Amino acid sequence: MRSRGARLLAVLGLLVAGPAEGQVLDRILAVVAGHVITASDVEAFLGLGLTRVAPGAADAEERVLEHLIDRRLVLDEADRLLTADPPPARIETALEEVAARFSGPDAFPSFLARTGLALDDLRQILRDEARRESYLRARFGPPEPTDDDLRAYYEQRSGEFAEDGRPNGFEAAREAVRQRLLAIREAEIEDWIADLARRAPIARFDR
Amino acid sequence: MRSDVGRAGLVPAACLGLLAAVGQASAQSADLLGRRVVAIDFLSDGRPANDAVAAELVETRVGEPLAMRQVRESLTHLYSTGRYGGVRVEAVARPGGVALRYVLPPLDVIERVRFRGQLGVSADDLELTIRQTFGAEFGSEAVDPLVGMLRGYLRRRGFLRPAIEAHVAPDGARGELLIDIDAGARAVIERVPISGVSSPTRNRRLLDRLQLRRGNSYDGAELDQRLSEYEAELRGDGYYEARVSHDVEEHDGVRRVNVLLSVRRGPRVTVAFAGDEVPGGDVAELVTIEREATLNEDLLEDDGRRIAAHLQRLGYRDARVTHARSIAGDELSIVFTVARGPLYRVADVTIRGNETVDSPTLRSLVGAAAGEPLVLAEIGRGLDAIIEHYHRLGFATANAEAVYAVAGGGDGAGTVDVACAIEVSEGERTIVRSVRFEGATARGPAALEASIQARSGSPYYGPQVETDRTAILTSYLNEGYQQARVTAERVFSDDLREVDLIFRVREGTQVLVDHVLVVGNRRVTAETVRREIPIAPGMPLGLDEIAETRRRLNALGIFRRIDVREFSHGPRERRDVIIDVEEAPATRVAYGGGLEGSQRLRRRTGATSSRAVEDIELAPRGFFEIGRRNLFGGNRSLDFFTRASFRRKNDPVDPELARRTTTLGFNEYRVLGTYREPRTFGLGWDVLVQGFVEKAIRPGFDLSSQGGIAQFTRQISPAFRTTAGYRFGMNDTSNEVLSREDGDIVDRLFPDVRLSTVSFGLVRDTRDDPFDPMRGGTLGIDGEMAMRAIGSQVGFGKAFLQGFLYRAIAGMSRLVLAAGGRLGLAWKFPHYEASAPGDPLAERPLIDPGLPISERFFAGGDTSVRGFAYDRLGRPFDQEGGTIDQTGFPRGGHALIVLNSELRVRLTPTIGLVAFLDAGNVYHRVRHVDLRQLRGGAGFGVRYASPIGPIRVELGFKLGERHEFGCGDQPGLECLTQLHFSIGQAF
Repeated sequence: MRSRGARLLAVLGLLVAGPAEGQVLDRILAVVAGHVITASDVEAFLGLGLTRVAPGAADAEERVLEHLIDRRLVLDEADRLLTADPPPARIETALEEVAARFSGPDAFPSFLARTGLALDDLRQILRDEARRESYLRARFGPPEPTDDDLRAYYEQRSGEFAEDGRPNGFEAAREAVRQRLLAIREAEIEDWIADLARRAPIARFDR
Repeated sequence: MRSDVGRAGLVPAACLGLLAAVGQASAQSADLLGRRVVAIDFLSDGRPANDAVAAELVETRVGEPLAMRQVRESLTHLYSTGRYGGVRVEAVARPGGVALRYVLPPLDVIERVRFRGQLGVSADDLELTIRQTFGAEFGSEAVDPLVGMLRGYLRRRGFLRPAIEAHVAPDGARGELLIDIDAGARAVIERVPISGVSSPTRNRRLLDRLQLRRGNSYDGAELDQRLSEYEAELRGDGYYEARVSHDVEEHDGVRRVNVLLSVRRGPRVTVAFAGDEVPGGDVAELVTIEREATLNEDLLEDDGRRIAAHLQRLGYRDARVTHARSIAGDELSIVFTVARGPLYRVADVTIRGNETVDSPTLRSLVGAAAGEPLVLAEIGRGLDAIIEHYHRLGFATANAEAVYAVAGGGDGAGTVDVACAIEVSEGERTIVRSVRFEGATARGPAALEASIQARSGSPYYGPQVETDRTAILTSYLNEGYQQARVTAERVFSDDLREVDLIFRVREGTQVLVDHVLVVGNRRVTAETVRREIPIAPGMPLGLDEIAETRRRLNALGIFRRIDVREFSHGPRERRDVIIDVEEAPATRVAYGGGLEGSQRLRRRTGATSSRAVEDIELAPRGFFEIGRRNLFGGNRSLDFFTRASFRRKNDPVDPELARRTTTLGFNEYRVLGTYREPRTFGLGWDVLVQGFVEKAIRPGFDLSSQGGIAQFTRQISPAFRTTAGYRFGMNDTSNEVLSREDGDIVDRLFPDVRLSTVSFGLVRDTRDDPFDPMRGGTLGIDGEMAMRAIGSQVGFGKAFLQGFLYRAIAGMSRLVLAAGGRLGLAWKFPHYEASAPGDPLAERPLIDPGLPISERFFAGGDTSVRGFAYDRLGRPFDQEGGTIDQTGFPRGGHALIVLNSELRVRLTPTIGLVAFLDAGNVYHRVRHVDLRQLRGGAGFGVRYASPIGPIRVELGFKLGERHEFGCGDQPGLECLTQLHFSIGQAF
């Protein structure tokens, strides 16, 4: 991961450096199974709030790029298995939510123009996001464990949630159990995506 | 998700400054958006790139406002070419707008390999090894494995410590890999210990044979080759288990090695047979161990089974074959013991239980008849055929079994007669009650129904349902639904008499073509390629269109390689189609020579007279061709072709002249200049303009002609093609071969005739394969008219109709029935233009002087009526409508009929047999056409499917009356037979 970070720093360094007199408008950062990911894609996902990475966060671009690569791998699987499109109304609602993140009437269209996206492109992105989540939910279960899941896990491993050698009751251990299940799900997804990445052609352009 | 969590610790503090810089850059570039683009250039590998293909692919345009959407599109288009990696776009403010620069970092693809240093082996050997493993082109990521592979290769060749260093693109030579090699000294042989050979004498002989001596250089590859030859020799001598190999160990450091030779000769193997005799051929032919010179238990069991199967095919139903090994000293004997058992014969075949299908029909499917040997495998195939027959009629659960009973009879000497009763259980007949489609929204039920065979009320046939399912899926794939899924469900009624078929469709997203990008082209313009193909932006990206694109581009003949691929970016329902081409060399030169063998009809002049004689001739011939393709960036071509044959021509009629002159020479030649332009003026017509000078020896006359033609062809639909043309030329038929007594007056008056003709044609072609069709057919009509009004000296009209049909016989895909007919009719317009003062015909315009001989119809030969020699079909001129003159030469006629039929039997993928029946005739005038005067020919032949087309050898026999035209060089009746050698189907 550290080497990836170093590569991306080099990428971004070049992105801003360019020739002395020119500004880099856009560039290809990676290609995943034939799908191009550009610097403007990274900027769009950051600016539109389509990841959990905050725009000002450290190594935000690198994390968004990694997210986009993973996202593409998952979407290819979702496409392969014909994951259904969400209802159009849901996409329109999501679109309104995204637009609402921008202050002022011109900020949203202006941002889209700056990243080269049309509204239909954004709709497609949101549609794909919904399909991606739907696919992950179908394969790995819901992102938030149910009460039954928490109880079942706790009952199997109550000894692991002890404090000072005495087992905690379920309610006391609820949050710890939840965090454990979330981490397990996260790890399963990560392993699965890593396996996809091993099999998919991924090119990163960092020179 | 991985990308969203837990990586905060990776970021150095400096990144914050970098992010600030990104934001600043982004803000600055935002200022440039909307400004007018005033210039675009390309930079590749640090140098300005004048890349016309790249310029074609970018979406930003000079003079238009800068938009990020176009920038993004341009990036993906440029990447999709497969030539560039991390493409980027830079912008700089200029007076009046903004200038763009596309930076195109080339992908490191190695196309050339160069070697330097002390290689040890030849550079060709090294390069061949690399190409065999890594191909003609490979990426730079393959360099490390390549070096490892070369190291192993050199070690095997005796260089134990090679030093290898590889440099990608040395000195800026992009696409090149430079490999520095210091192979070091080749190892020499110190000792050669041999295991498996005990005799010192044989050891010495073996070492001599393998050239293994102390002090010799060691080359593992060469030694393996010699060992392999030695092992093959041992196996050829009957040592089927021989194994010879070598290993190597370093003796001291890098210079000396011990070669460890292992020889396992094994016993000498002999094969013998015991028990019953095996009739019906050479039993040794059934045993493969001798042929393959190898021995293992599986092979022996297979050989035993093969002998038993051979006997069972002859009627020895209980035949068993066992094998045993016996070792005596150095000899291993394999003995196959044959227990043949009695010979079973079919006494009778009866069929029971059949109600719907009559017994004779079913018996014909069984393929066994009373008195024949009883072959269980054959009857099993018959049972399968009966079951299949019932299944097709809707009896899905039908079954058929054979019951055998020994009948009275037999000869008491090991022969048993068996009555074979076939018990048919028909079961219920199932009829399709309904056909439904679920989930189909993009394609209506009517369209889907039209694509399948199943209908309400039709018999239910399981395999047909699967075929229908595939047809529905294909129809979706052709409409761009690349992820469509179709399943077929069958819901049977309780009594199994009816079934509802439900085809469930998951359509997925329809993929449309976004852009069509052409890359790799140099001289051919992208527009030329786009014009040829059926794919265009906005159309569904269908399978058929992709295949048709490949087919059409291949048909142009101007590309060496064509790759059509999809490239996805942005919306998943839109794809760019990348057409990656490699142009063939613009200039094409071809030349060649050969010896032509053919049977020709010639005039032979003796001491007092001359007559027509059929001779087998051998004639050297050669050709030269030069052509230029891709003229002016389009698919235009210019070709020059010339061909000449050194052969004998007709003897002069005058015996004295014939005695004094030679008839050998370059008597046949052709010179052609051809210009082709497909889709001229964008109108869909292909134009061909050709100039020609030609001399040919025809049976009956020599023809010299020169002139030009212009032909326009249009493919109206996949099946229909139409042509229109104009021809202008001089035909010289002023030879001495024609009999002045019999010849038409036109040939005497116009030995040089100027012809100016217009023509048209329409062809419907539905053949599945133009070279070797199995189904479909052709139907064509051609018309030609020569008129004085457009410069012709003679006026005439000709019509030619032809049609052919090809059908694979149902259930027997190896049999193809082909049949067809040709009808030609010509009329001479009864007017002449006086070619010279005093032309007698100018004053007698209403006589019928006939067509010039070069324009008449002839028949006979390997593509016509095959019982006759080339052009030699006809009746004697002294009979009504005859066209063969008194010296035996064909004079051609104004009408022609040719009917052909043949049965083609494919024995193996490359060998076939044919039986044919032809009929036809040539008539002096149209009014003489009489079907009762058809002359017939029948025969058979062999065909070999060669890479250049079917090679045919056929023997035709004349049917019916033969005339006194002579046979070969003998006077008298025509030959009964005619032998043909040719390439291509007869029709």
